[in-house]
Amino acid sequence: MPKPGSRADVVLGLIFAALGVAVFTLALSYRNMPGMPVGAGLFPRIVGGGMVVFGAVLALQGWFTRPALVAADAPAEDEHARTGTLDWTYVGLVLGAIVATIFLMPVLGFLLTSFVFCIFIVRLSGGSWLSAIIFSPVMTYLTYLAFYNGFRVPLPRGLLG
Amino acid sequence: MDAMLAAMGLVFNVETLLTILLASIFGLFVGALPGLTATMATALLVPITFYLPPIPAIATIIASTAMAITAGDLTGTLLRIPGTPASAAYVEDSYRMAQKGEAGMAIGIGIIGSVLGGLFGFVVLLFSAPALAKFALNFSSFEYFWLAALGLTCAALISSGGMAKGALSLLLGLFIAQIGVDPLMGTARFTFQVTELAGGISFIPAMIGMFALAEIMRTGRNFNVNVPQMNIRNPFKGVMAMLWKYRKNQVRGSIIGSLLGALPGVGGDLAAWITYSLAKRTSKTPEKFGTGHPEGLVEAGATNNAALSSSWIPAMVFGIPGDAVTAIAVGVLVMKGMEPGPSLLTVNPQNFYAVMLVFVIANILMLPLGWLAAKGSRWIFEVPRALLNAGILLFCIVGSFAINNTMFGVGIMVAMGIIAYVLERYRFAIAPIILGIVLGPLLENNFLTSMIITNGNLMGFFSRPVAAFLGVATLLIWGIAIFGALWSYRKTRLAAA
Repeated sequence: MPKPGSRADVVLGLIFAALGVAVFTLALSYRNMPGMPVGAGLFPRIVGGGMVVFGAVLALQGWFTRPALVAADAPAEDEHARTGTLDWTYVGLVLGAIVATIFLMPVLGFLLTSFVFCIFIVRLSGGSWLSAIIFSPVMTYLTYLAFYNGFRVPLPRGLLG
Repeated sequence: MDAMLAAMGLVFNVETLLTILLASIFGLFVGALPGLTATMATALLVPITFYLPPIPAIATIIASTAMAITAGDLTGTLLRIPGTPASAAYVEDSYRMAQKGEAGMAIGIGIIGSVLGGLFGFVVLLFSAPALAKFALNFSSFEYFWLAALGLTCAALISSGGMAKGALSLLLGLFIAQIGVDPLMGTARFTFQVTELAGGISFIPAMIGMFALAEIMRTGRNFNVNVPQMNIRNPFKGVMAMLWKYRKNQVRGSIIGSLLGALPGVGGDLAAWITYSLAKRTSKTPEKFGTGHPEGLVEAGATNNAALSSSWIPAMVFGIPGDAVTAIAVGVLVMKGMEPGPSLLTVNPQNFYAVMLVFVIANILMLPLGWLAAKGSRWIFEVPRALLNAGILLFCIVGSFAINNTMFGVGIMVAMGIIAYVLERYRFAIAPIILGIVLGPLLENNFLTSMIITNGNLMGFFSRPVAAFLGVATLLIWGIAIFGALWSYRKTRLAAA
């Protein structure tokens, strides 16, 4: 991943410009209304064009901004101090757990999947086994009661259905 | 006068007052749960209204909606999950205030500011409902297009990362809004033959992913919850002094909210963004915005509820609902024999005034209920971070699922969370993406309609006075922003040389 600062702006500017080109090109395939200057592709073409322009502006800004100028940009310092260093293992496992939930919940049901999910996240976040075992069923059941019984959200019932 | 006395008789009875109280508590509960909206609260109450007399029936809708929208600020302040697109405008400030130990102050500003804004909206509604509604009804696609463009411009240009990044965030939001079936010809756009994408991308899972999930990704195991909170005994301590300090923002936010709220479908979401932007532009300390500064919160919070009150003008006076909530309310009014429209003011004025009184009571009820919610919310800072992370993530999943009852929403939430994390790391603002998703369809519909009317002549967009005013204002703001960016870049380079 690019480092914060002008180099990152060049990369992200180019990514946005490429996305803009893709949007614009795809939008060309959408037909106009017969005899009219408008169609399904008009607005996407404007948005795609805008992405190309502003992506190029960002890339050029990053390219021509010297490191000294970036260092003088105080808000950037504050922002990066706030964002901190990414805990890749934690983030990867959290995202993996959510993706697994997407696939498992329709099969196993909300109660079982959420119970396991909560235990996993509590342990992953540094909680003890005892707190995980007490908290997970309570949180799962209260959520189920509120959404399924209270608000009639048809949460998947799965194996327990 | 007789009508007002009759209205008081309709409202000030045990049945109606109890209904308002229960509906408010229900609205508070629903609004404070991530993923559940004021629309859902209203829809869930409709079956109950079957069994109620007309005034208590409409009172349940009004009270629950007002409370649910205000309660959405609680999750924004405590968990960085804004309840509505409007509250996304100031979520950074309220959340950062909570992280500095000022959760009570942030919630207090939101609630008391909302009450004052709501009451201001009520006064406006009472005296100018017909005139405002008539003015709003004269708006055509040209005015709506420019108004949406103005709001989006404000959202893009107030972002801290600079103009190019703000514009790219906005364009990304507008692109996401185009995914699905196009409004003109029914063509599937950017769906890549994925069935679920044909329905488009809902802003709720997007908002949950971009704010809540991205925040958990950023803070990871070090989620800072052990923040000592000030004013534990009285969470609203100092709020009035703060509101007095920023009284100009409070008044200006209420006025703009009342005016914009009267525009069907567009006012509520846009107004808070426009006034937040205005507060930043006119502030003596604009650099503090987004870091836990109350000034924008005061103005945009007041706008939010003032707009909510006046958003009922077109629904009540002309029977034209501007959004899902007022559409449901109009349905309830019709079902109860209180046909909305001009006759509501002429034939049955007591019913109109009764509805107005319900507004006042619902707004005043926000104070004690909001105080209790603010006092109770302190516990969230004492929960171990491991449990809080698990609870937030479970709510993120269920909230994203609930919008369409499919796991696809959860997938959208994850994808948006990752995009938001990467963009925020490189100083892109997230809020314009959300507003782009919400207002994208409105902007496109009105743009295409206007293009058809003018047969592609862009000068036609300036052919009506109000449209011309809004259009020139929007273009001027962009012009000034571009000139300012170039000027600042030149100055920085000269200083460095």
